Amino acid sequence: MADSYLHRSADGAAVSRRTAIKLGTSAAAIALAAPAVIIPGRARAADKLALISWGGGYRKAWEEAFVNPFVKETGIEVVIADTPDLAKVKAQVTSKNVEWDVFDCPGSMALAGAAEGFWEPLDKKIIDTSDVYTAFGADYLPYYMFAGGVGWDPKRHAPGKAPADFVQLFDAAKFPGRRGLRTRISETLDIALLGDGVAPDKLYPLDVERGFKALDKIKPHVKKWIAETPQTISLVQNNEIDFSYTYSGRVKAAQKDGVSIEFSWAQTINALNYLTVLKGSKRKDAAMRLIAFTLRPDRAAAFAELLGYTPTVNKALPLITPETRRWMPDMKNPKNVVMDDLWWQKNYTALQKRYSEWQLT
Amino acid sequence: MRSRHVALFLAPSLLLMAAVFLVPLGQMAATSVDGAALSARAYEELAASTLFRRVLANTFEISLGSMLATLLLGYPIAYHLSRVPPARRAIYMVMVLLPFWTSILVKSFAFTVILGEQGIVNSLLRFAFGPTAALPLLFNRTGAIVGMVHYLLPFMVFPILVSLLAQGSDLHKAARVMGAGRTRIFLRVTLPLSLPGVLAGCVMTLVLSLGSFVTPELLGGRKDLMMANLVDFYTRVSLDWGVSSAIAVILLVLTGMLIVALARLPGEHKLI
Amino acid sequence: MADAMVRLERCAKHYGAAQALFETDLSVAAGEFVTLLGPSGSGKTTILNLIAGTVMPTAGRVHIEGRDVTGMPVEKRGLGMVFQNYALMPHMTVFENVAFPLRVRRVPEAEIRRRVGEVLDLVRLPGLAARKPRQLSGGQQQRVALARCIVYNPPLILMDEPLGALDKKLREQMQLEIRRLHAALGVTMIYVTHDQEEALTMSDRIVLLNHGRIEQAGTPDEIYFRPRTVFAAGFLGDSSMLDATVSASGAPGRVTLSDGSALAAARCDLPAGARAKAILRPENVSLLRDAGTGHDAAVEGRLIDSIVLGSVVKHHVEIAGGTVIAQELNRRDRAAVRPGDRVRVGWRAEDLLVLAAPD
Repeated sequence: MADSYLHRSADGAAVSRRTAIKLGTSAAAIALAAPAVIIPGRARAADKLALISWGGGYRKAWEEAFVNPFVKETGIEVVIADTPDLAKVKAQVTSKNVEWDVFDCPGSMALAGAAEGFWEPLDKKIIDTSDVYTAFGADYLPYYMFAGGVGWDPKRHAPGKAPADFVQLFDAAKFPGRRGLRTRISETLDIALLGDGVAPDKLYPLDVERGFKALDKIKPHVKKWIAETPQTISLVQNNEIDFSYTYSGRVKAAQKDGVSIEFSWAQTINALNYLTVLKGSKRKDAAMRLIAFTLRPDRAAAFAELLGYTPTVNKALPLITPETRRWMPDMKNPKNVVMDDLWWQKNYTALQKRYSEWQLT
Repeated sequence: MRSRHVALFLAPSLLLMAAVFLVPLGQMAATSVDGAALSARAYEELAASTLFRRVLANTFEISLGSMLATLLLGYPIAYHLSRVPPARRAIYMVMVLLPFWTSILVKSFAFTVILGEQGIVNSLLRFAFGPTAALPLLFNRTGAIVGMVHYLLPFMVFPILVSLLAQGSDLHKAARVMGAGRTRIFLRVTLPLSLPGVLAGCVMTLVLSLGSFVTPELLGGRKDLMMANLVDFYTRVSLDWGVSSAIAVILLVLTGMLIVALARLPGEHKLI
Repeated sequence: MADAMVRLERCAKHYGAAQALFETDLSVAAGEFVTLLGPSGSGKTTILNLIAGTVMPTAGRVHIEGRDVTGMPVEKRGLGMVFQNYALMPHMTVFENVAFPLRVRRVPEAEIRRRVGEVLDLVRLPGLAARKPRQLSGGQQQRVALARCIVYNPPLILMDEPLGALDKKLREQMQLEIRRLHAALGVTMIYVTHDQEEALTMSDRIVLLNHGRIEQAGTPDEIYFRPRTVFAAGFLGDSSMLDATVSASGAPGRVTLSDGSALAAARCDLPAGARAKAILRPENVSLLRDAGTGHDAAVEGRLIDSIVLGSVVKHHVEIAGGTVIAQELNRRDRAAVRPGDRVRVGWRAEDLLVLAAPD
């Protein structure tokens, strides 16, 4: 009986079953593809501080050096979530629905966020910044420094045959080989200028045109422009590239895994990593206390031991063991440079666009 | 079932669809014109940007290329699968799905081992043809498309397989009894009847590849930047959500137009 | 026969451990309408497939028109085949479907148009040439399938339960259609079905199969009135079967039922003492209302139930020794009987068949 109704679609009086099925299925399929996100209430655990940082070994180091002792001392619970994303910060702050508290991020994010007013001013009453030796702003605090430099496989290139500093990295005639550079303009432009012969103490403000010309020169020798950091190690490992721009922490971890890779300390570009508190955070005081905790010399030293990054407080430096000291740049080396986050904050967006276009041609 | 009964039964899923899909899309479109201000700034900026135009062309080139490559590779696979006994077919289907379940980072490492300069393919070529015989298969357009095809293959194979299996073996039997040879049966019976599946597979792979960016990023070269990369940049780095929404809207509209054009191709079965 | 259209010579087919067809010999003469009849798994479809060539025999040889075609691929055999689900190409029009085999044979276009038109007229479907199969009814589609077969004049047409998907009325109509075409064209037809009524209606000869072997082959009359096995008696028409022991062999013969009562049979070929089944067809058993004439045996019984089947009524009567079905015409003025009534049933001795009981 039902079938006779269903076949009357010709006169429009009934909807054919096929159409109904089509509509229903497409509705279901679309709901599955839906971009709307509903944040589970679990994330709002009362009194649990939300720290946004990175995962894996990094997270383990955070737990061991900072979070566990912090929880033991203050009783404040800390939840670590993955990955710093400035767009999510903007979404929370502008909609006044702030779930995150402490934000661990590189300079570009910290400064961009500061310009947009995403951060709470650092509470000087809770955080003692007198021992911090690098410059910083009112609402972002640098808590370690990481080093970027040349990475290569010592088995394939003996020391002396591989570029040791950026001048040599950008000299394809004296040091022939397949290079791997980043698809991110920050750090790349800096080392290009250093590679072109600019004196490290005269690096900033960057001479953009000269930098792009230097990149033009090295372009044909770059086999892969790397977007994801793990490839800065794996491509050398697989003998797809000879020399890459990579990070000391990554090389240290890779060596522990048995990969044949070395990091050159002859010249490094060093960048800071910051901690900030989101504006409108519901647990502002606790957040400030956690940040203050990371500046304690013994804690900063413990963190350095685990990941090989350099603390930003003077008193922590003597507490570091010699094996770990090997993994830190000698800041008295005149060839080393600390990246100027403020300059990059003003110029990053425009230059990244230009760089992307440059890559396409 | 009368029309209004149908409407009643579909109402819950339609409402869900409206809430989780149409509303966010609408918000995104609104963001692209700066809300109530209805400003065309974002679109103007994109119109003037060579970067955007290049990336747009790139995206369609890579996507259409991947779709065609997937079709050429996927049809024979589906055809073979349709002709093996069901037990073996199940095993083969799992094999087709396996790449789909592997993480892209792991896959990129594996592809480096296979396609890289020092990889298996080039080592074999060097062994056979001498030390200079090597093909650049990675970190360029080829690498990007290989990676995409590897991921998209199940989306092409399964619709075509379904279409082939639905044909029923009696059709082939009848054609054979009437004296038709293998080629004629394939060209006049199997292929035309499988076209709906082919179309479905093409639409799915095209849509999926238009929105992708990780695979080309890992396996492609510097010239293989995709629209999704741009959206990512404007959303997370430059925080210019007006422009990133505009890019997304443009991508959506172009994709929609492409699908409608494909689905209305003259032929026996129209998808729309 | 040297001039048989189709001849299976000691053909057998097994799939692994399962034997679909035991060693079989079969001959079909040119112009015959032969039905392969049997339940599922009897081997009838296997035989059809052996002739078509879609299945290779594991033993024996297949001959068509005198030639050994055992190794010949399907497409070279030049036969016609009709399927239960029609197997029409859904993306082609009726015209294209019927023209398909002619195009395979590279017949010129003008002649294709002529022959397709002719054959569509023959199956009584003029004017539907531009339609697609899904726009046709089941009966019309099957006729297109027939047209598609006939259009290239194969010497032999195979039919695999072609009317199975149609409803009863349409099936009866199509049975007559197919008979008509057979008469008009004179082509040899081999027809597979499990429906014994269909077989009885349409065939020149019936080959009855059971579990991969030929039970009995013969004209419909032969098989219906002189079944040689209990299976044949049970498969065609209705039968009441009573357990019996042969008490006297020969013509006339006598059997004893389980309760000791004796029944006379016009003829009994089984030896005395053999276990047998006494078989009666309902149309030969009458419900006796008065003393009546025309019957040799009369037995007392009790009515279990009466089932009205349109034009006839079947009475299930319990007698000592088993159940017997009596049939009478459904007349409005017939005397009523109710379940539980004591009734008498009778038949003629020559209508009692004695067949060997299956082990």
